[in-house]
Amino acid sequence: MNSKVIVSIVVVIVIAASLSFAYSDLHKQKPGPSTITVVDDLGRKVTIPLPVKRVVSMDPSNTQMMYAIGAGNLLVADTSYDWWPENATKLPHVAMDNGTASVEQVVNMTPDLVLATTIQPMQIIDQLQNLSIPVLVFEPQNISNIYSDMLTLGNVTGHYSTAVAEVNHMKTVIKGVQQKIENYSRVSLLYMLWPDPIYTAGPTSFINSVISAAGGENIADNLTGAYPVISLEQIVVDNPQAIIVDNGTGISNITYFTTGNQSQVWKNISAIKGDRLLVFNVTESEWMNEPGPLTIFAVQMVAQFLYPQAFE
Amino acid sequence: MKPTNYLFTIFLVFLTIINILVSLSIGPVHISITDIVRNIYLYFFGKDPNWTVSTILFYIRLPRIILAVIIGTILGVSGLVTQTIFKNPLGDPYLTGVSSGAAVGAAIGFLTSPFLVPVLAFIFAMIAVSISFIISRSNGEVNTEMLILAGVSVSFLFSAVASYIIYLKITNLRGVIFWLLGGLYGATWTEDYWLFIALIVILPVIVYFRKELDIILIGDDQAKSLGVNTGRIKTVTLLVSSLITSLAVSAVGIIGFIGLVSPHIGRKIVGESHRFLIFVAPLIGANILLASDTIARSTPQGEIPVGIITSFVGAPVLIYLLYRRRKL
Repeated sequence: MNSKVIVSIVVVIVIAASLSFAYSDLHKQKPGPSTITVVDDLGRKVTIPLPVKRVVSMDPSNTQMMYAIGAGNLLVADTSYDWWPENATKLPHVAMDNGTASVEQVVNMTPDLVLATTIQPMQIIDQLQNLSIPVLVFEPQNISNIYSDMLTLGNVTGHYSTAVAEVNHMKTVIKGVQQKIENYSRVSLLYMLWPDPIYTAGPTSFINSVISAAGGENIADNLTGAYPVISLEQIVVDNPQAIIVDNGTGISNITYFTTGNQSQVWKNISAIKGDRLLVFNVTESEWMNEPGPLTIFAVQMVAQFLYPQAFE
Repeated sequence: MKPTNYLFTIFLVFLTIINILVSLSIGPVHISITDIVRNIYLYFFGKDPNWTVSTILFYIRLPRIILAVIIGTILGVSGLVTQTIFKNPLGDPYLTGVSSGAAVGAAIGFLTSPFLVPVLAFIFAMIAVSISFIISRSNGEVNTEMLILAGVSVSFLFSAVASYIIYLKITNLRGVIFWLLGGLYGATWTEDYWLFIALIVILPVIVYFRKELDIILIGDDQAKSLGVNTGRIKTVTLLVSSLITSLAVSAVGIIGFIGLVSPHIGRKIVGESHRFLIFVAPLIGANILLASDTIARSTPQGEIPVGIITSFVGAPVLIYLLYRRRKL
């Protein structure tokens, strides 16, 4: 037997041995005595070793909730589209707004916990779980869901009392808004996410829960799903008293409705006749679309638009 | 020259009219037939029609129905031309790169201003088509074998660019996805008017060449012996059908299957000759698209992209016809 063969066998054995060591090392951090088990928004039971010192957020909502409960300093990485608070924009970014996230980069951050959302493919979440990195998927469907998610986060990160305080603060603000508007008759509203075809916020969307918290009567709440297309016919029949246009639709003001292609239809809609149109800027749109501590601003803003008399 | 072919063509015209009337009475909002008749009467005879009903009928449904008929016609006739010229039963009007070119234009439109989508889609569709034609040109005429390969290559190239833009740059995916699957939701009278003008300018050119298309079907050698300049006719008809398809795509997005299936259904009924087929294929296209769009806009879940319905309706019809032919 020549020496080349022996050398290559030795090399293979050494590589295999070191790989298996590395692999077992990865799995050594099995949950010790101090762990916590919580249920996330997908109903997954996740066991997290304590204490949680390094957290990666893969969604701005998660980032915002972390900062709101006073656990922002635990974040080691977040997304390319985080914008609030300012500190969040300075962290390394591991997730992109089209749902892609680099598992390598996440692992490289050696997190104790990863906060994901449903925009990330399940495979990414499974990959991380297989590497013994616990992942919580948060996808608040309504405002009370935000409260429960923040309390879960508080529980896991050791910031429970600040989480309770933040939740109470949010509840107080929203209750204050609702008390102001309760004596006015409900205003019907069309929420436009996209103009052509008209995508709207359906009954199961988070936006719908903000609209109803702000006293609006969403004309799409008899449709199905979160973001259905609403027909122009239906809008003519429902004749909404107010219209909100999300940011990024290309619509900047009422001239789209009064002089655009479909002006024959729009100009007789109550909201357009009465000039009751609100076009969101980028920040307002994010308040509306990112469930979290900033949702209270969305509720205030929509309520003020629908019931200006109540806020005089 | 069967008299049944005449009858069938006339029957299709009537079917289209009935289809239009039925479609007018169907939609996400239920309007009874009596309400429709009363409001049509009130609308045209100066009385005060119900605003809700007349707006829905005359500004939402009818322009959309007319658009479906026009687009279906365009796709039917250009599908027929493509299949004949390429002598390929899988030919569809997007073969020369129209759809992927338009997709790039649309993607850029969604990235900049959604209102530029139709213009950019048309421009990029024509760019893609031009590249395909330039690659496959020899001695001033197109080489169809080259063109089919050039079209496929150009399509892949433009699709890659479109996918890149959509995947990495566009955050609001809803508009793009709906556009890529096609839909007639944006229909207005203005749009109908311009597409109709384009159709009545371009369609006669193709109808004019119907005999030449028959000769091309027989073969290039026979055509030459009959003194027909196939190269010129192929170039003209293909360019014209690509142009009109680009207009259709820029208006309603990429609606699949109509262009592929309409000529096949027509051929099974009136035969291979373009004498009738040139009228029958577009009429079939118009009827399939109109019926599909009526379904697409009337589903209780809210509108779904019409491309999904055209394939759902068209594929079984084609499969049935192929199955019948196999048995004969």
